[in-house]
Order: sequence, then C-alpha cells, then structure tokens
Amino acid sequence: MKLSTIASQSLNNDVSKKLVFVSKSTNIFENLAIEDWLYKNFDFETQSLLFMWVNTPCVVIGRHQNPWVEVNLKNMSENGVFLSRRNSGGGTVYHDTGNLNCSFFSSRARYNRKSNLENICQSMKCNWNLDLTISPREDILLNSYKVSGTASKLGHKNAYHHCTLLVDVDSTKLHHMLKVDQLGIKSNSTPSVRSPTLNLKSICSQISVDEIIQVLGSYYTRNSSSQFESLKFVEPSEENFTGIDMLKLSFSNWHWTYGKTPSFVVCWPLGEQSPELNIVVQNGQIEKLDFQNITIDKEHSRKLTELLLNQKLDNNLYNIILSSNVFEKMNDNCAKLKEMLLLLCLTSV
Amino acid sequence: MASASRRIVCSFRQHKLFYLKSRLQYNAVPLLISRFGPCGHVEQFHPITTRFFHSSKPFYGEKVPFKLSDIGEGITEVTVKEWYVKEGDKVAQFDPICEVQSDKASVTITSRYDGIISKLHYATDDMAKVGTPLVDIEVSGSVTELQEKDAIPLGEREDESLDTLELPAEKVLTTPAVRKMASDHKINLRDVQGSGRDGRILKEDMLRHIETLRSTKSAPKAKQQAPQEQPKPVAPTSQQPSPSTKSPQQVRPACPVGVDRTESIKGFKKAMAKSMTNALRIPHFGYCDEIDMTSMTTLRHSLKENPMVKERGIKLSFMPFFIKAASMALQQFPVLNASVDEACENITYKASHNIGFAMDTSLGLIVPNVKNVQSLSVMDVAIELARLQELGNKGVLGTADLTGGTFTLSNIGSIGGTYAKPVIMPPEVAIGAIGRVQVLPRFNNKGEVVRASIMQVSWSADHRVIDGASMARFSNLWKAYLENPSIMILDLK
Repeated sequence: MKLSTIASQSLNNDVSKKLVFVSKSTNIFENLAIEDWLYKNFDFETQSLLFMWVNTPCVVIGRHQNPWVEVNLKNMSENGVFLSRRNSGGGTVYHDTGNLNCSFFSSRARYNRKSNLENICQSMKCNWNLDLTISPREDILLNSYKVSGTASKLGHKNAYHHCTLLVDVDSTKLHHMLKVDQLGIKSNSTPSVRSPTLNLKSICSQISVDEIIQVLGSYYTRNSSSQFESLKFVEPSEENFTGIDMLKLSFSNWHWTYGKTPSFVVCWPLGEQSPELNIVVQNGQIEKLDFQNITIDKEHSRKLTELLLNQKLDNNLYNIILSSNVFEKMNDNCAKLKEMLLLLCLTSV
Repeated sequence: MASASRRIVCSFRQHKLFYLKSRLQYNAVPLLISRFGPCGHVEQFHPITTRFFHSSKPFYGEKVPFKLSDIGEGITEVTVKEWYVKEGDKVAQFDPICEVQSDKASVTITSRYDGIISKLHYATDDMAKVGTPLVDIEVSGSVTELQEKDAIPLGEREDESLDTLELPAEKVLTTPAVRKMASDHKINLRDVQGSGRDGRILKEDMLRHIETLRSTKSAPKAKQQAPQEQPKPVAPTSQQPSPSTKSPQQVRPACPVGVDRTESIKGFKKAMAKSMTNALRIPHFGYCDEIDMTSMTTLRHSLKENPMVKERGIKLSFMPFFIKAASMALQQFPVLNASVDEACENITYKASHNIGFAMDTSLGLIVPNVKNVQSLSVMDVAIELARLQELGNKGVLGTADLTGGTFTLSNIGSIGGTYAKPVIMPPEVAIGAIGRVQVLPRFNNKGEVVRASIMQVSWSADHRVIDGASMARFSNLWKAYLENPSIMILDLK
C-alpha cells in the first residue's frame, strides 16, 4: 500500500520537471519514431514530457489491429494516404493537419491517463469555454460527440499516454478512409469502436491547432517549479536523436505495418455458412489455403494454391494475380474471388 | 530431488540441453527460435544429438511462477497479444516477456528474474487474469526468500506510487544470488544498506555488510524507524476536537549502545526535504491571533444534535467551517489565493479556492485539497473532507486531489500546540496553522471574567507579494466569521 504525500505533490510540481516538445515534422513515420525514441531513451525519473505533433493525411492503426478489417485500403491508395501502425493499443484513427496529437510521457509510476485528459479539458474550458467531458472509455466528448481518442503504452520504466484532438479534420475523408468493405475476415485482432465525431472548430470558430499547442503547453507546465519555458520545437534528425533513422525505417516498412497483423482467416464467399475457401494469413503472408472443393474443382484448387501459397499480400502478389490466367479458366463465380484477392493486396501504402 | 541426481543433471546442462514438454527425450528435434520486433533479437538453440534419459525433471534451480502484476486502473483481465519468449528460452531480468493489452493500453511485461522459461500459462489471444501466473521461470540459485509476487511496483488506480518511495515492509529489492548469500550467512536483508537503484542491494553491499558484521561483532539490528518528526509544517489530522488517532506507530526497539546509524534520505523524506528547501526560499512573514470560539462551539453542538444534520450522516467538525470561512474571506482578499512563479515575475490570481488541509498518516504528511470551496456550502465541504480523509487513510488519494491547491490550512491543534510557524507550500503564497481550542479566562465587555474557548491561529505569507496589512485584515475577517457565525450568513453567496 502506498501513499501519496506532500512529497508527491512536490514531485509533480517541483521535483518533476515538465518539458514540452513540439515536432517540426508532419510525417507520421518520423513522428512515431520520435515518440518511440523518447519512450525508449529518455529518463523520466525526475521529469515528465508533453510531446505534440501533427501529420499530413494518414491513418494510424493500433498495435494489435488488422488493417484489412479497419481501413479501406483501396481508398487509401487512391488518395495517397499513408497507413501506419503505432506501438500503443487502441483503435484506428485518421489524421490530417487539423488533428493534434498529444503524447504524455512519464515514468511508469507517474502514469495517469485520467489526469492528462482532465488537464486538457480544464485548459480548453479556461480558454475557449468548451464543455468537454471524459467518457468511461476515456474518450473526450463534446455534446456527446467524440473529439478525442486515447491509447497508451506501458513498459518497465517508462510509459506514455497519447490522444488525438479533432480540431478541423476533413470529416468526409475520414469516413472515406475508414469505411471498410466487408472482406469476410475472421480475426482476433483488437476491433475499433466507431463513434460519431465532431470538430472543435465547428463549435468554436476561433480555435486552431497552433493556439491549442500554446495553451496545452503552458497549462502542462503551470505547476512546475521551472518557469514556463517556451515550447521546444524538435527536428527528428539523427544529430538530435541518435538512432532515430533506424526507428523511422522500422515504422515505415511493410513487415511492421502489415506483417505484424495477428493471424486471421479470410472466408470466401462472403456470408456463406460453409465457405468454399478459407485462407489463413499469418504475418501478412498466405500460410494455408483450405478448399472445400464444391464450386472450385481440384485442378483449379491446386493451381490457385501454387499461385498464392506463401505469398505476401502485397503489390507483387497483386501483379501476379492480374497477370495470371488461372481465374479465366474457372467459372464466373471466381471473378469475385479474384476481385477480393486483389483488394487484399492493395498494401502498398 | 536428491542433490546427487541434481548434480548429474547439471552436468548435462552444460551440453546445452533444454527442457521440452515430454519428459523423455530421444533425438530431440532441433528448435530454431527466432523473434523480431520492437525489442527484437534473434536467438538460436542448438539441436540435441546425444541420447540420454531423464528420470525426473532436469533443472538447476527452482521453478518460480511469475505472476501477472496489477496493471492499475481497476483492470482485472488483459489479453495476451504477443509472446516474445517460448518455453526453454533464456531470459535476463528486465527482458521483455510478452505484450498484453487492456482497454487501449498496450503493456510490455518484463521478466523479474534471470533464468529459463519453463512454462507459458497462456496462449496468444487468451485472457489472462491479473494476479495469476503468466510464466514459470527456472531461476538459478536458492529462491527460498523470493516473493511470489511481481517485481514491478505499479501505479494503483487513480493513485501515484513512485518508484523512489520506500517499498512496503516485505519487499527488499535484490537479486536471487544476493538472497542466497544472505540466507547462507543468516543475514536479514532489511539490515543491509542497498546502494543500487531504488535501494537495490548489490553484491558489493552484501559483502561489505558481512565484513562490517565480522568486525563489529554486533548482533543484527532490529528494524528502526527514524524518530517521528515535528517539522515546521506540522502535520495534524483535520478533525479539531477529536484527539489524534494517528499516533506514531513505530516503536523504537533497543539499539546497541554507542553505534551511530546513517541511512540515506530517500522516498518521502527525500521529497519532503527537497520541497521544504524550496519552500524556505520564500521570504515568510508571520501573523498570529487569537479567536474566541465560544459561539462556534455552541453552534457546532446544536448542529450535531439537529435531526436534519444527523440524517446526513456526516461528522461535523470545525474544519469545514474554517475552510468555508477562509474561502469567504479570500473573496475579499484575492491576493492570498494567488500563485507566483519561481522567479517571482508574475502573479496569478486564482479563480478557484482550492483549499488544502494537512493530513497526518502513517507514512507521512499529505495535503489533499477541497476544490472550488467558493461554490460549496459548509455541508458540501464536510462531505468532501470526509471523502478525502477516507481515501487518505487507505492511501489511495489521486493526483487530482493532491494537486491544484491554492491555499492551505493546517490543523495542528488536533495534536496540540497553540502558535506555530507554518511553511508555505509553493506555488501558493499563504498558509494558516490552527492551534488547540483551550478553555481560558477572558474579560467580557462588562469587565467580568468569563470562560471562553480560545484558539490560536498563525498565518505565514509570502512577503514578496503580500503585505502585513492585507494579511491582518484577512485574518480579522476570518476571525469575525468564526467568532460570530451569523455574519457568515450575511456574506453567503
């Protein structure tokens, strides 16, 4: 049993130094790399950090999520929207420059999600009189619409809690990217819980991402012994963060974004009680094809297996399927199968 | 588990065998284990090619179940999302073992021990219950003193537990090898001074301690607590009339004569030392006065008897009145509810009256605060006080309750004392210490000697931003409210 004492108050206010970083980059992979770098390398024993960042249009899925289930890959590739996977849990979010991300870093012991969210609500209330509330799922709500989602990562020594803040996001694009066509996927990955969202700007027209950065930064350091130092704008370069180039690569590669998906099964045709074909995908790669041999005969099953087995669901396979003639020789039903497979392979972004 | 068979088995160990699920192994299958990921590294094990026979489990250490620690936030179950180890893998302390997920939080569980993973209790996507074993680890060396709990002291729900604080009595941070040394030499780990991080006892510490014991030949000391301190911001309970129930619980046992004892200041004491050092940089000035509590005492008695109050079930002490009166007086003197930055260049007049009250608990001084007293009635304050006290006694006060204070009252009178010199808690600018209510003879306006309930109050304020006159007028107003409670009604908002 542990007690917080005057010590803890002073640890929060005086001894715990409060820092505020703002990223100069708007590239999701660079920003995720900075976040990961701070989590792995910074010492938060006597200090805590608020890191704020903004990205050009992209979608971020949670650590254990399945992009084929959460995201409309076709729309993403058509619109040049990046897909990335973060290290923390939680659901899928769409980012653009109208969305502010806040990552609250601290030692494992000082991790307190609720308090961070309350700080945000209070500072927004003080400055723009916005009546924000915190839902039981720890989303921030305004008039019962979601304006922020939360996720966190806890490790042995350090922990962080990050959240989004929808200020002026393109809602049409948001829905476009996250509107998923059913592909018949069965998986154990973390599902997203969709909620209706709202932009803060629609309620308060004077608000902007830059202003919120200033407000949150100053509110975060209000009780700190160190006088409010100005926000530090950080560049994700190798000189500033040794080893960050490796981290950038680790976030932007296919193996992390798609390969890290927990194994799942694609059942075709969609909605059938007893599917014709079960495709088992592990690490983004087709591990097994289970044919029931009802509409697809043995010969074609063999050819399909030869074509698809041990192939990664990527651009390469997309081209292979396009150029293959296996599907032409099969009956008409299989045109749909080909379409479905092509959709699965749109993993270039 | 005869030591003879153990020795035979140990020699097999050197041929890099490892324990598979089947007890009998013949021409074991080569197992190539590779893993990659954010904490990835690749490991390979050599295939076993020699035939041998196990009559019992081969091991060189005890199997210790490593339980899933409390994640905090009231979570009882998590999903195991990814394993970073397999049975038979060698792990070092703090190596990542697996990734679990609880509502939106992804947690990396790291190993407590050095050893070999002997069993995984859950598969990927299983729900693991907090407090149940996650993996079994074969630990080298004697583990008789090992706690079967988990290494990582975690934040509890809404609460802060700090790595730097002293751990509860049972836990002493050290390695199994050091524990073995301790048990061999019959040394109590609590007597050894740890010089590692968080007070961890390192091998050098143990060796040094053994040397010291040999040279001084004194019996191992019993656990001692430093004497209960009465520092300047005296630490009372908040109930004025009731006697303090928080008497010092550490009884100092007999200590060998003539031996000095040095211990490093860590945990609460260290934090208090630091905060007091900071606080005394502020130029304090004091102002004291005497309050006639006769009317207030009568009022409180009558309220206690009143059925309306009784049915609300809240114990009504003087403290809610003190706090509310302070807030009402602060309306007239907002400079006392302000905050200055460290360089004293800016003063912020705080809108909310978040009035803190000092609480004495078994582990030290806490100062939770009641938020927005300006909008609360005396009853509301009393209810809030009761809630905070209950949480404080259990040790689960949250950050929200402990931060954001703008003004503080310290009721040292519940323990004793009259005048005091309280220390301001930065970034606040004022603090009051309330003494004991004593029955003393005083003159009334007719010149007669009467019984009066007298209480002293001692204010301290930051002389950089507050002048004596403001403090005096504030104190007079507060005094007026308490000496004549009906005036409080006049100024009620």
